[in-house]
Amino acid sequence: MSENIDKLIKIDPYSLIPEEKNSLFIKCISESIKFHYENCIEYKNYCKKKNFHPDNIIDLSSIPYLPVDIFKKITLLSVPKSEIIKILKSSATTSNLPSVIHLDKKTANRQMISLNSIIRNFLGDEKMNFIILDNKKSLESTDGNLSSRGSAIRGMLIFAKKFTCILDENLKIDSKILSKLENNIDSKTCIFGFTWVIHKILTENKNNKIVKNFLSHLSQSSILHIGGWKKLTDLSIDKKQFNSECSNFFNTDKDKVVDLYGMTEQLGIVYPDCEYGYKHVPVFSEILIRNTHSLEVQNDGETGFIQVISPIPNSYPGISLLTDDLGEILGRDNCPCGRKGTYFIFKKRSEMADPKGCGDTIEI
Amino acid sequence: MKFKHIFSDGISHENLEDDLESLIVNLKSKKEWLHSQKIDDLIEFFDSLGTSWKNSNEYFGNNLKHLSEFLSRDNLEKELKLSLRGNFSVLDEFIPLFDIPDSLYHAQPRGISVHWIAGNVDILGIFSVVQSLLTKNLCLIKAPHDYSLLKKLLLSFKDVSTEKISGQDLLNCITLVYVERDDLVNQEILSKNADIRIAWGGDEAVSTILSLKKNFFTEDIIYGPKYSYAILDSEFLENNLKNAAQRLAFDVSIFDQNACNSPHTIFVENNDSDNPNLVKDFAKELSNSMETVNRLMLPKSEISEKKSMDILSLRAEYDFKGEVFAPKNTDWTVIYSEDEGLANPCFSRVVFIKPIKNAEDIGKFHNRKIQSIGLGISDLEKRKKLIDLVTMLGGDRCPSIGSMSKFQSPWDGIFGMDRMVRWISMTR
Repeated sequence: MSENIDKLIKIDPYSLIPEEKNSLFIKCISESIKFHYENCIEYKNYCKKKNFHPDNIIDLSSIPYLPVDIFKKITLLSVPKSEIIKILKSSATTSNLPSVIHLDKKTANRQMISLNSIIRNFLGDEKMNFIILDNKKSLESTDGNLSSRGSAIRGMLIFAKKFTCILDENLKIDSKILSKLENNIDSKTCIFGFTWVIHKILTENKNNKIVKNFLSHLSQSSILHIGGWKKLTDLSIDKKQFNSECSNFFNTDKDKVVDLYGMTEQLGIVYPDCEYGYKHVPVFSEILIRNTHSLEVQNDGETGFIQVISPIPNSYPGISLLTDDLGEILGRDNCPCGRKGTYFIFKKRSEMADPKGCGDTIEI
Repeated sequence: MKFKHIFSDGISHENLEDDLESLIVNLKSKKEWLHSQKIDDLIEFFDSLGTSWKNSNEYFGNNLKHLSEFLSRDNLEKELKLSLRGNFSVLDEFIPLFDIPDSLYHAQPRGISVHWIAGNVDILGIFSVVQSLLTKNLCLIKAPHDYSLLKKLLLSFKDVSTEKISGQDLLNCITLVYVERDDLVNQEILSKNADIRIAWGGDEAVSTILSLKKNFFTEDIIYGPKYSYAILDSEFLENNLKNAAQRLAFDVSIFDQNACNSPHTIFVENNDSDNPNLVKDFAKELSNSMETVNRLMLPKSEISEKKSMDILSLRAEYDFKGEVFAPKNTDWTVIYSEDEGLANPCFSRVVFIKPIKNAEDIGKFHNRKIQSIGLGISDLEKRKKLIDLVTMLGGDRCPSIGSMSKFQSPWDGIFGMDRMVRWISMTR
């Protein structure tokens, strides 16, 4: 049933031009939609309400999308509960509710393969020492539930020769761990963490010579960060400033600071920045940009909501998601970095700017 | 920009350097002139202003019809009578009231009215400014962030002159400033100089204003934050399905639901087992009317991306657990839901239709945050009984559907102009 999807995730992620990718991708997404349509009654009803049947896919834009926060409100499953091996919870941001994502073995495997493939394309095949800017307890699951932070970190550990979490439980540098590490770093290093955590560490330690000295003397370090820009946007810090601060602090080139765009609701697919600062869509997914008002698909070069489409989720119907992030497709196949496929930029999260007034009751 | 002097004496300044205290001194100097105007002349002026706006080729916002109706002589006289013990001459002189033989009464202005105007519905501020001027109070207005329409409306006073009052003279009694919410120094100056504090706003804005220091005798008039809804019964709907949908579409759409009098939930009492689909049929009919109103009468204002996503998210949620009627874009949304109680407001023309077995059960969801209850119930006795029951805990006005957006007294439970005067008595 999932032959095509399994074939797709084994392809070099940035090797196909649209003509090569499209027919295979449509086959896979069709396969996936049919599976969810037949196995998730709620999803089937949703499709029916949208006058959509999986046999009638015209193109990607005809596939119904779910707003990404639907998983904060409703549990959607396409496999029996007994097949669930892991439950992921995203960070609860503005709504104070986390997205709850149920993973079966098949989804988890696919996620691992696709993530592996994407990250290797950017970091290379050689495994590295990973310094995780987080506390090791973040990696632990509680009653089968894993936070999105923990899950993202765990996902990256497959690229690590060895790894060390260097923050204490208060997310501050643990100097004891750091001193133990000092004599044990001998090869290429990757520093990984959540964007806001890295910023916090940078801010807290900008005058701390010991910490700065250690972190700036790591060998050819790459800085990978994930988790979104909301907290930094609130502090009026943009990507350019963040990259500059990172590059100074860690004594590395700016193009080694790589933002990974991704979401818990479609884990396994990340969109890293290439050395030109553009995010690349792998063969396992596609993006569309939709007008924020008309919801029509935008032309390349126009800004709108980012819709992510991927056949990877098997246990839940998160195959076509409309995010509240704003982005813009810059082109296809012609990024100077040489990667094929769609490339885009993430612009910002959508923000509340509507006037409030006498009808604005916080709660009734 | 923390503070901006937008205009005073009818002259546009748009100046960041001026000092608020000196603007207040200047405004206070107009007190005697305003006090000396006759109420009939003021009514004449505003009636002419309303006509001038109605006939103007210039754009004065989507809600101009409301404003000009409010400013008509008939309406202003009715409002004044309701607020001022039946005789608005009491604003000009000492007169007897209610056949009380030994006393005379006079309503004096309080002084300076300070208006904190919310950004959501620009014209609501005009209502309180007109009421202040009718009761001969000077107006110091804290404009919302986007004040262009408010400024335009106010400065257009200049274009009107009646036999006794020129718009320029009346404009001298108004000062318009912008003060940022966190500019506590100037916010305090506004508050301390207020004889009346009039606040239009949401929870957060009103709480901030109320926390500012004020004089001991300052009168507070708080408009908002409030929630509104409508109740219809099957008898009414069976005879008025289309008409009810048209009227409610107007109520929902007129301020893009940002106003305190905009309905967010429509309850339909349906005990008619012969017509189990009535509520859903009404939801469909309402969706047709929402589209018509949006296309032909009240085009939807632009919304933020975040609001757009809120709407999409809510639609998806109720695609799973209710029924959604909506166009492809985010212009309007009708949601059929069997969830109990008042729906949380999403604003931006998102309205919930909910069946209810017994309309009287709605009372249990009432509190002081309820403002308007739009009614579509044919039987007057049933209506009166229901209103009496449900407004015990909250709810300030119960207009017919289609009239929910009309500004009228009492508003938020008070007669505004009554609160804007000091009552003086003298023995004959």
